[in-house]
Amino acid sequence: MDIIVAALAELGDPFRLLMLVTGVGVGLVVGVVPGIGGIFGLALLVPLTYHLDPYAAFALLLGMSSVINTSDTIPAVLLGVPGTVGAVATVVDGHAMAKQGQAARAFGAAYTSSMIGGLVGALLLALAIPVMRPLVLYLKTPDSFAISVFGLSAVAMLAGSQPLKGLAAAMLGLLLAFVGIDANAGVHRWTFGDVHLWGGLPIVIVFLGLFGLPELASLIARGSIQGSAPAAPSYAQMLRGARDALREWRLIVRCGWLGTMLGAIPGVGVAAIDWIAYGHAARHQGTGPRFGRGNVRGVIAPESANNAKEGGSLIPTIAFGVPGSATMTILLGAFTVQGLVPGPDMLGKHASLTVSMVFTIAFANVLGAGVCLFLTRPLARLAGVPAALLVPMVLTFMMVGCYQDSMSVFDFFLLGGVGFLGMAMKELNWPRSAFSLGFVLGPMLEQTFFLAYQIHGWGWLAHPVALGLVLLAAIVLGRRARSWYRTRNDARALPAALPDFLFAAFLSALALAALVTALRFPFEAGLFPAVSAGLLAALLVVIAAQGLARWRRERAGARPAADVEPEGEWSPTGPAALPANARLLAMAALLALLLVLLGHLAGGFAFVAGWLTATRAAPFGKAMAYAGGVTLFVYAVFDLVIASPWPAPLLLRLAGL
Amino acid sequence: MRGILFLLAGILCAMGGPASAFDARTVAIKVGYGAGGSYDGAARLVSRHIGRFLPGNPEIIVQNIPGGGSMKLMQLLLGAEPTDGSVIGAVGASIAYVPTLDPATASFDPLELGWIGSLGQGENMCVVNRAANLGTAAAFTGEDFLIGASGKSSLTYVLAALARNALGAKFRIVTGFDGVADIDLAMQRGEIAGHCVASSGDLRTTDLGERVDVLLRFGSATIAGYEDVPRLRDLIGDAALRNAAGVVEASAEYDFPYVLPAGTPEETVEVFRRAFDAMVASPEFIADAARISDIVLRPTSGDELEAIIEKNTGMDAGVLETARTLVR
Repeated sequence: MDIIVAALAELGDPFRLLMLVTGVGVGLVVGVVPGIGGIFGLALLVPLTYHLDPYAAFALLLGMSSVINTSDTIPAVLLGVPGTVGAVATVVDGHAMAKQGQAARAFGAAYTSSMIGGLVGALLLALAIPVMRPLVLYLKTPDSFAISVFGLSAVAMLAGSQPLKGLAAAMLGLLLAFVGIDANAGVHRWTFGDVHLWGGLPIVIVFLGLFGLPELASLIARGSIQGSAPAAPSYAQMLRGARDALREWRLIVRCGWLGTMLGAIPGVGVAAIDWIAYGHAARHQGTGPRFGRGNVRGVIAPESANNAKEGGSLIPTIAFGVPGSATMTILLGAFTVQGLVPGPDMLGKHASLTVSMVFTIAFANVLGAGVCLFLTRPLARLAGVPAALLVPMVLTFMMVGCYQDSMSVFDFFLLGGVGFLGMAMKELNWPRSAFSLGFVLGPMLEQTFFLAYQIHGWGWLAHPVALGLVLLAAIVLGRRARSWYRTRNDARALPAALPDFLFAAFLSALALAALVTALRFPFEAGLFPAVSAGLLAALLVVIAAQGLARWRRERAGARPAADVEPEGEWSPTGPAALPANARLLAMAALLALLLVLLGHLAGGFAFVAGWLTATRAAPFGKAMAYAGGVTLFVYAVFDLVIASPWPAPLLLRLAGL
Repeated sequence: MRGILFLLAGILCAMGGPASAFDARTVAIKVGYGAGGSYDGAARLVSRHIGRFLPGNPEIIVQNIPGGGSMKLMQLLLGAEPTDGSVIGAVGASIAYVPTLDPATASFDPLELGWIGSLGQGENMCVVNRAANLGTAAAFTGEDFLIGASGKSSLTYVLAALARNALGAKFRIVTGFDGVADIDLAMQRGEIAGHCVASSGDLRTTDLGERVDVLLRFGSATIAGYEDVPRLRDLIGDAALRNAAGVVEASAEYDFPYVLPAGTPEETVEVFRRAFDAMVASPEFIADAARISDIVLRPTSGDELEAIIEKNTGMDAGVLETARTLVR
């Protein structure tokens, strides 16, 4: 009790509170801009803490990192472009709600669950303080493997109306997760000698390509975010969202638990937690529409889990100096700066500092949610802005954010490639959620399997926690498989047969090539890639065969089932898809060219001003003003706030300047 | 008119006059690792001081170019970065030895770079849980137990493999841990017995020292407080084997090195070497290092680094081949 009072008194110092508020402000901005996330924010702030006392330093840092997953919801819901990798699952139902004119409701629900989830995380962290060391020591390597298997079993919930495609999408995600130098044997897997691929496919670019580009293309096709859906955003709608969240308080608490526990396990990143929570919620539809079609539970679950994880990932960080997440790696640097050694001292000598971290997380979550709620109404108005105006500007932010990742043209090619994949998946009923789950869990699955196997042999199956979780995963999958089998002959909407077949055939070729090459890797580097490529190839052969058979039937005169709505997260753009996607890819290619030729400022300006004028989306003067605004913002974030090593514009280099 | 002439003359001088060895207004320290790690922290420490010791007191900025354990930055330093001193690189400790010990990964001549100096010295020792009862040399080489490591190209693996192969020990190396903290956690869980990258700092400042027996140390330098721990090279009888082991140990002899891009003029390298030497000797730098980083300062000058690398990578082919087999 004394410690709690002491911690509150220390944190109550006006300067430290100011640092907390500053951190929250920075965190909200970092969360909103796609392409940058918590790591960027912390790297920005850690050098500022050299001259701060420990309370002020952690108020600033944790204040920032606690609210990133609150504001990253804004672009996810409005545009379908996740603000950080922790908001990808929110896109599925949140953006679907925005399209129906319910953006304000989605925000109300999201912020309320973010806040409560964050508070649950802080509370659990507080409760864990006395027992966190034994707790972390109790879980062994096999348990971590079993947790990732269990996480992967959520694919069963995300597989959609054509479950074979869902399973194949998850395998494809797994397979792509294995690109890069493997952590065990140091073998190059599909890096093609390019140093950019050594560290694997960058997760930020993969998610922006998979969700961001296809959603922007469908925005072009619809004309504006909510299309023809009526209703201006109102406080009443927002309150309705908040009430939705409060009604689902049990879901929030469960996902808060889940987020905290998974956050405490090193290797389970926020992106994985997000999808596992989403899969958990998807087991029960509640009173809303189907999952993927704007069910508010699909917003509440990931939003509460991703804010709760901050408290959880502090547990191993404080107790053992083992970072519970990627951002915590940087937070550890701040411990050094403050002369603190994670370990028993943090729970003894420095206990009041540890407790002040709990309060920081709690305050930051309340404050962050409050600010966002306040901003909801003006932001939700964006839903009515014409796509012709919105898309060029958002695309610029997104691509500059991508370029910032490694400052190389390679980023653009990768974004375009994954964007194409995402567009095809969106139109042809391949659940991108299942792909995402495979992609984020792949590395952990492989790493923990080999660790467990090297240490315990097959004896790890005798660990009760591990065995229990693996059995649970098998039961979840088994039950879903039974229901798939029973409903296999139901009439359902299906994508056009020819493109469906062609895409499956294209992926089959890819999977077979991957399988052949994976078999040449040494055993420990090749096992997981070969198994996932093999399963993927097998699934694809069936899917392609089904597509081909359907195409032949339709050519012979059979009619596709009429009057059946697409199910789940499958929301094809329809006949407008092809021109809209082509237009967006062309825009992206043009912007990439301008960014490389003229640099990130002049290139962005030229693109926005030129595109808006050429397409008559805005009169010349306004186009210049919009372009100027975009450029100023990019300059503020990427030049003033942090010195990014932007390469010299190609034109200048060609001119020899 | 006269003013214009002066102006023109000035411009001509600026363009055609002999360039001084160093006149950049801004120097970027490019770090081959992501923000927040120990290399990044060290670079930010250096960025706070080195400017004072360079001509013209340039502004110093830190930029991260992570990828391939600083190999991506290395590729840039070998051909794509300016050679006027406006860019220096903070690369991995053992990167100079990659072409020698792991030729499949990269081939370049490390001596093409301008070695400015390094901040730390490698202090690496094998430690095992006291509870495992492996505290004798006989148990260490004769028993079957587990040593933890990250990937096979990391120092955690290279040193453990070196000890095992050079001494004919029976322990097995578990690969795939995320880093030393992760390995240490598995030790505390009792899943593995130890690792081979403990420094005297770790042993003193954390509870590690109370939990483990220190069995073996690498390198030639003495480690204060651990003089009695047997040195690997003293345990190897065969001279050729000892030489080969020495090459591997040398790759961990210094840490946090700073380099100038390939092709940087000799005079510019010299300017940076002198600035670096003056910086590491200045009391402000030493005090700041103690305050904001956990690096044990044991600087090596650029000339020495170059000599060490030259000697070890220039050994005869047979020794280098043996060295390669020792780290497998």
